[in-house]
Amino acid sequence: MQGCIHCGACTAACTKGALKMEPESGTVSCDESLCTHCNACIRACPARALTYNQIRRPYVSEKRLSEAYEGR
Amino acid sequence: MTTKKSFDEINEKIRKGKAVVVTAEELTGIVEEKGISDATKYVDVVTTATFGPMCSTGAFLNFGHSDPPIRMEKIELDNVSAYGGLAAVDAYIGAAEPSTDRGIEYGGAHVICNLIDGKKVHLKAYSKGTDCYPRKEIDTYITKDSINEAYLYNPRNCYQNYSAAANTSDRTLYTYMGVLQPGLGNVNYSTSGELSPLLKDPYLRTIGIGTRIFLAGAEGYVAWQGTQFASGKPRGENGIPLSGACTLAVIGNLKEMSTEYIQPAIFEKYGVSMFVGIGIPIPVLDSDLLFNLSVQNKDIYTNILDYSVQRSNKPVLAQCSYEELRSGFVSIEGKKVKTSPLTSLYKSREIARVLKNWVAEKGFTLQPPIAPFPKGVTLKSLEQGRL
Ligand code: SF4
Ligand code: SF4
Repeated sequence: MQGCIHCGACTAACTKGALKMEPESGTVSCDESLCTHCNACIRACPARALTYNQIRRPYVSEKRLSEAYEGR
Repeated sequence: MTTKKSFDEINEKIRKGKAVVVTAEELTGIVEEKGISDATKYVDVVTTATFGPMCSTGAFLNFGHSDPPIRMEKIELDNVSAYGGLAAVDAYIGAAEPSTDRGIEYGGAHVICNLIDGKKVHLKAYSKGTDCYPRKEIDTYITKDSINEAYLYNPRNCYQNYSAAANTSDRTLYTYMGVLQPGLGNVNYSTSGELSPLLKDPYLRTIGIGTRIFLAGAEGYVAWQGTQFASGKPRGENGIPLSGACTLAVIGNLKEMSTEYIQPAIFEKYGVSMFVGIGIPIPVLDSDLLFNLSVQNKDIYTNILDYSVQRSNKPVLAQCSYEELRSGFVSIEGKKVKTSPLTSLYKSREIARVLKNWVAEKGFTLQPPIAPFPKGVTLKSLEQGRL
């Protein structure tokens, strides 16, 4: 969960109701049965923390945003 | 007898490690158990916090003089333009400025966070050259340790309240309030509700110029009222305005900050912004203030605006409490609409806890306002073509 800043923008972008953010822990989870792999959540994440795992489901990247912009 | 405490009395307790410090969320349970009067006696300081996107963020930097010296007129940091219309080697880099090579994927917010992280930043500067500053160009690398001053100065942060956003049109809107689905598909809201600093001291009795705060993991200060400060906005019975009202200009040493509490943000088809963590400790001076501090999400209301109307005055679709917004759904004209936060509650809570520790354990005393903010201020708008 390192890259995630728990803002909730991904849940706003998902029209399928597939993404949920647990309010207490801030953990984002994806209900695979609802996800259509549309990418909207990945594009909407302001921290660029979401990516796809091998089974084509959005998950929170272990890579921090700071690492992402480090390699300029 | 009514309890009254002064800043001095509370600071004395802080210095002795005897102050009772709680977060604004913890206060709720204490007030339920003890009532307002006893809670006023018991609690000395309440910590409040927010971690949300605040575009009006930036940093002043002084690079030091090269030999021969240059009067920097055009300045780029990692291909992000910084403002150089200041003295020779002073600059201001705004968080929302996109880079010339990667657009909004890398902007001023990223440069600021790279500096905080101690990373190297590419500096290019140009000048026409003068007799006293003959150099015309410089291409080098800087870090926060290689330059003189680096301080964050954010002209408008920490909105007192903020209207939530929805979209009644038939197309998706990409805004600084996130993605807004067509046909009232969702509502996005900002502020940390009952944890939010300016909602807890609605008349800013204890917050003014000079207030010492938590700013992005370092000690910071309130420098001035924020831009678009509007203390004259209509308020509810509990004193809380129903839309964006007061704001703060804040300042702090960038070199001491941590990117745990300040992070770049990229909003799709909108631009770069910055998540900024701010915490403010509020002293319990009397029972009126404790009442304000104990107001809960169910009693804090905001408007839901229709962002599909492209005017500065957007129509109000509904009014709802932060308790409703936090529940995940609100009802607008009988329709159940999904809600999502933009301010991180998780991070806001963490900041309130860290600040509580600073005050309770580390002698972080409270600075009374050096000057208060003006009352009854209303916003002016920009008129096209009129004098
Ligand atoms: S990829 Fe899946 S989870 Fe993400 S927005 Fe699309 S449907 Fe929702
Ligand atoms: S995954 Fe991205 S959009 Fe979703 S809560 Fe985390 S930071 Fe926000």
